Amino acid sequence: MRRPSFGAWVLAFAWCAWAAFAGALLQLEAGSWAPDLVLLLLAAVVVARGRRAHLGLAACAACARSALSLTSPLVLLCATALAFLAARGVASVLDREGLLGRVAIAGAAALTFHGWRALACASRGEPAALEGFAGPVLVTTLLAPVLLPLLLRLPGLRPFTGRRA
Amino acid sequence: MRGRRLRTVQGVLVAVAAFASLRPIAALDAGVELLFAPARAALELAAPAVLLPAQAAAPLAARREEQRLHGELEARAGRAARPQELRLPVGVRSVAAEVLLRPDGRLDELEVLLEDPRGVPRGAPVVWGDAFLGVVERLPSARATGRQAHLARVRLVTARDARVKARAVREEGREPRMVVGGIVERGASFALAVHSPEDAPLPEQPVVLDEDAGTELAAANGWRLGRAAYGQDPLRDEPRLVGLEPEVDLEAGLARVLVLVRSTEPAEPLEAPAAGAWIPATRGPLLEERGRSAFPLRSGTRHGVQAGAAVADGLRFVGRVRRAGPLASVVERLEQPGATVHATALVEGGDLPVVLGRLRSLGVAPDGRLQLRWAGDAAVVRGVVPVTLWTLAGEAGVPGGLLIGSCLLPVGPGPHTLMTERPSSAAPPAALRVRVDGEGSR
Repeated sequence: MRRPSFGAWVLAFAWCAWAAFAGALLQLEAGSWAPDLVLLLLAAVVVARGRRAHLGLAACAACARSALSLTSPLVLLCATALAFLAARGVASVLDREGLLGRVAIAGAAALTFHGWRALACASRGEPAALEGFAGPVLVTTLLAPVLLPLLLRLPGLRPFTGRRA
Repeated sequence: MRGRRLRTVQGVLVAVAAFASLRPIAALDAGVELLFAPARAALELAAPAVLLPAQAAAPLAARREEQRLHGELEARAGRAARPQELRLPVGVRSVAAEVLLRPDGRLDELEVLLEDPRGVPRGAPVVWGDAFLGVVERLPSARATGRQAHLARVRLVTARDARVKARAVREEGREPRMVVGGIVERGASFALAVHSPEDAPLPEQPVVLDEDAGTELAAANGWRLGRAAYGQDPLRDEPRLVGLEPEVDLEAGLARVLVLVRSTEPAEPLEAPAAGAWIPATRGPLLEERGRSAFPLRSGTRHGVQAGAAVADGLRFVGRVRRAGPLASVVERLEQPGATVHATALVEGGDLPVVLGRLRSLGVAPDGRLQLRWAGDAAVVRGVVPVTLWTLAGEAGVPGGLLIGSCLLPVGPGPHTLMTERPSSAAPPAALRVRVDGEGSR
């Protein structure tokens, strides 16, 4: 597969920004029971590409998310990268096209991201950060079978997923 | 081979980021913040400013009323800083100064903006009302110009090595003398430490400054340090002098102070520089993250915005900048549980404003009112009275005189929860202003 072009990166950044914005809107309504759409987008790419999914996409997603987040950009970058690596790790041992594989990939990404962010925020003087991180993990994992196929169809992601929209 | 090298580099970078996210390294945090400057584009992509719902402007009458109250607060705060029962000695003049912040977070020091620094010597006493606070420790260089020429540093009497001579006022008989300086813990609060008191127990009357005549400090002789505070001596089972209870909240209650100067020189009027400036800013969408209430701002460090800076809608306090990137920043609203602000209360028809000190937000109650935790003040005994709450200067980035809301002020020692009605537009409007400039936000 060819290396993604600059335009592909810009479009991926835009999708991440819109996913972050939609996630922020959902959080206003559902609180901590809102799905993490940015992570689901990354999980969709991992489902499509497995271990060959581009880690740069995690940095792109962290950058887009940082505009709409209270968390330090460094923590976001690290948590997203770790989540992406965890998802890739799961994808390498499970059938990523199967239902269980998809749920496990999204679950691993959500658990790693929210767990690490809570841990990092707590170590940075926010003890309350450890409370209520289970909500987004659970909802993101449960919605993965429904949302991942839809996210894979987003136009412009082909350079990252290798699939036609 | 190349793939393996790339994976090694990626692994090292992730490991460094993981370490730095648990043990913050300021330079690395700032570096990633800079690297993520394009995130501002995400803000525009996700929620273009033009699509934000326009908030109905507050009625003009409400704004005018707020302006009137603000003017009243300014006048009364100025009066509160001046001596109440005492009179300035002959040959002593007072120089007003606004408290800007605690330098480097040190609670024993104040950075102040002197209205007129001419003739102010190092070591000059600093007072608020009838209370003695400390001394001028650092003055601007003679070559400093503009705003810099007005900045001075005050060391409070709470400093570990601060020592002043004092005496306890007694109506009859000999007045015991002592040395006061530093603090001793007293439960959750503190008292001023008393060293070598001549005669204990001390009388009920306040302990006042009593320095040797001829010294700079003697200009404030008679100004109060506090009242004797007693605790139980566990060994002798009798009351024991713990220290002096200050009459002023030295931690969060100082906004405007006076420097007493032995000089009768007729100073030409000098226009003092403003304590800070404001820039307009536009907000992004509302955010709720892990129970935190915030919104992004389309201005960053390139525009002068710094972490800690106050964000306001006209005279209405909205919140403070939590983190600032080069092109955008994130503002934490006062509605966010745990957010704090120094406050003062203006009693309608009352005299001097009541300094409340630090208020901590407990979040929004089901009825929509903001809950603010106040430590309480035994001196407030006038009964439950309706007040308007305003920010108090003295915190980095937050000027005094921004409207927080209105509430009923409870009586007596606390802690109390102030159920505060926020002004309507504090549910943040699209167009705001941010405090910028120098020491204000750091």
